[in-house]
Amino acid sequence: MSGWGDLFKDKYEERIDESTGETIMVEKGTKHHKLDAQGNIVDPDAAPAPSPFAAAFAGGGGSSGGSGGFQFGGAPAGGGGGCTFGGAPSSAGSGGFQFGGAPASSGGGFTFGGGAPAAANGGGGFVFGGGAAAPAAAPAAAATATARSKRPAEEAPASVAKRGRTNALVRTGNESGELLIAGNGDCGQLGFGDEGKRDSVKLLLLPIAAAQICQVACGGLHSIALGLDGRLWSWGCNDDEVLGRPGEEAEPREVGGELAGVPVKSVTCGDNHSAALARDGRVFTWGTYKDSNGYIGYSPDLAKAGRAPFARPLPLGRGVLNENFRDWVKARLKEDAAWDATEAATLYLEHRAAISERQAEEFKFDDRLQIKAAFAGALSHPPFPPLPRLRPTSPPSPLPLPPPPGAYHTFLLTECENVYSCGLNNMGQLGLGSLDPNKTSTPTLLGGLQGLGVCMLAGGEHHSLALTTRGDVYAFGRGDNHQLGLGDGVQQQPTPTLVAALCGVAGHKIVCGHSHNLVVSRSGDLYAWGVGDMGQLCTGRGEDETAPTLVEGPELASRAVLDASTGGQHSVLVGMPRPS
Amino acid sequence: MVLVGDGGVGKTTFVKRHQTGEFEKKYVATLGVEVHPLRFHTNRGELVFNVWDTAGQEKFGGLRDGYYIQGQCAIMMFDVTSRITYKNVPNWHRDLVRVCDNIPIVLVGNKVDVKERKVKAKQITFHRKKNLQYYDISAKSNYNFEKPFLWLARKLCGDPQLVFVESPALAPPEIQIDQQVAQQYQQELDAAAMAPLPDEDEDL
Repeated sequence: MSGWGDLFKDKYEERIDESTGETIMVEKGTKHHKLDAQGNIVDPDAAPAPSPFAAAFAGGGGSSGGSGGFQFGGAPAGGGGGCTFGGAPSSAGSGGFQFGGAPASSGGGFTFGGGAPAAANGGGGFVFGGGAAAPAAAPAAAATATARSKRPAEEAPASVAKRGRTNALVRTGNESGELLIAGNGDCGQLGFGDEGKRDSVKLLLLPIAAAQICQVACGGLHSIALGLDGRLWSWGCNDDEVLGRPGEEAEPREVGGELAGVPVKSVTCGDNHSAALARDGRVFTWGTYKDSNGYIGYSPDLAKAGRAPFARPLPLGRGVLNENFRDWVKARLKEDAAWDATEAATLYLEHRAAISERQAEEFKFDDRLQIKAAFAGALSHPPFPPLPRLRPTSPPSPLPLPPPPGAYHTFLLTECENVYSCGLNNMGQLGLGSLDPNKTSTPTLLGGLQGLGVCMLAGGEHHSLALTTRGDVYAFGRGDNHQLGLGDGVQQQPTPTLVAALCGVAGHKIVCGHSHNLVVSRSGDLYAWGVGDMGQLCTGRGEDETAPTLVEGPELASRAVLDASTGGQHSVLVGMPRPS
Repeated sequence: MVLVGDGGVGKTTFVKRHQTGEFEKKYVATLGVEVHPLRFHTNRGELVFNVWDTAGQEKFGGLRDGYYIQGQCAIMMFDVTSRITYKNVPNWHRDLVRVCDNIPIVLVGNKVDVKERKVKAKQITFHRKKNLQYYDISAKSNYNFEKPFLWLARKLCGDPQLVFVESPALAPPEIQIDQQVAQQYQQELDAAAMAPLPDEDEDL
């Protein structure tokens, strides 16, 4: 250590590294932390974990090749734009699938086919596959001490968010507005052109040739707006041709390809792919899907060529899924390999398809399980309708898929408003009342939301929101970046908990970003909370908000928010002039 | 030193370039990390960076505290051929500084050897907003391999004059980076560094 002595004696000291047993040099004054068995800091002030969660990260090995794909939830695949999933076509009159947030819906923002069977409270506790019984979740309001504590809880009074307007906006489905946008635009997300505005913590009006916008969807780095005339406009990062059109990426231009002239009813985006439901019922997709092994999804020609000028929207059933993908799934079903999250997420597609198939095959399948909609947490999940042609290689009994090793998470909403969740639960994002199981491939009844009349769910990276028909918002999962909006320094909350700060604000739509949330109220106000340093909360401050905060500012003073969506680091609203 | 970034950006490839580090690496089963002791010879003596490399847990988003906890410095990595990995840099930064307040951090964009570079120099602004250092690197060609370590070493020692007196043994480059292209990138980076940040508050 010669030569270092003068530096070291003042600045560093020797310490044994608990994890490796080695002597290392540590800066003096560095806090001594104790780690629990899971490798998380044990805060002596925090209550013990409600349950241990297994250290079950399967070592996937160093990934190679692919470029990250969809690991992170920059924006929900679900939420109003609608990751979609219909009831099985054959039973209970649940007419196919519908995208959520269809403009025609009133109030709740989701239109679902078929009336809910009356069996709402009958029995409950049905669990797919007969695996684990539904855990007896604590009452929704029960505050649970959390395991993943690091900093002393930042004490904030459980206050109520400042109120916006109270009168509900009349939404007939024919409303339209202008685009308002905020956040990071390093990759053209803001839409002001290559040389235009790149960053804004304040909402900006984004001029667009089509003035009448009724819906918006954000992917990781791109956005797509839907006009009342059924045309789509896309802008942002065009890697993998996710914009569905050629030309300047950083400004809104019309999506072309096979969608040209096809009026669209609804649109949704994943991290790096997009999907639209045409008014004639067809589904179009573009962009692509890749994991650490490279391209595995659709747009096979694009993947082969490596670089198509732009992807053509592909109608469902015409090569949306290529043979490689099918083979890939089959291979994974046979071998018990360690899969990565993206791969597992993909398997959920199959999973969902299997659920649908099963329903179709067995009428006796509990009709309460008619799936109204599937809401995928994080962007890992391609926002796809059922894939009826993919058959599992083993008999579908009880569930054809082996447990994935840790996908993000997915919610299934049934006709009688029960919620089933599956996927990664390492931070309680499944809402099951505990971190046990750490993850599950079995859609498990979310007891804490039973009887509340849930109509919409949304998931961020590790947290979740649920919206009820009454307009209440419940939060659960990871909270260390104020994702939960409970305002009390809750680091983690495995039980759905009413977001008290929003009491009295009737929610119309919930949207989760990676670690932040937007709520559009029925009155057309916007509330935001969570991580906000890139401006994604639209508050004009570029700071985190620990609890739901009314978004104000000149752009919203005279406008009502019709729709909102959020991507990796940006958010887009549809703002309509308020009737005077 | 902790090394974070999306799966597939090349973290493991990068750390394995250092041959003695690769030879002496240890696996910490409890945390699922490989610790590579990367030795550098400076004018003040030998300096060892114990570089922590995950075994892919980052695919689930976020890492456990234990991964960050002893961190005295960090490298955050993204892939310049995939903008979606750049999108996640703020999230990694957030997780990092939550546990490790105030440690020196270098942001590196890997794979600059690939012709189809997607993340342009002028788009890389995050490091300037957060006062981090940025370097283009190419793990496969060893391009700029030492730069992040030198910057971190100077920061950690508080000695801006610190130099590496001898190069560490690196695995032979698998590819050669086009010197012209590298120069052009450097010029673009320099130009970007001179340009004002996209102004967030111009009309305040």
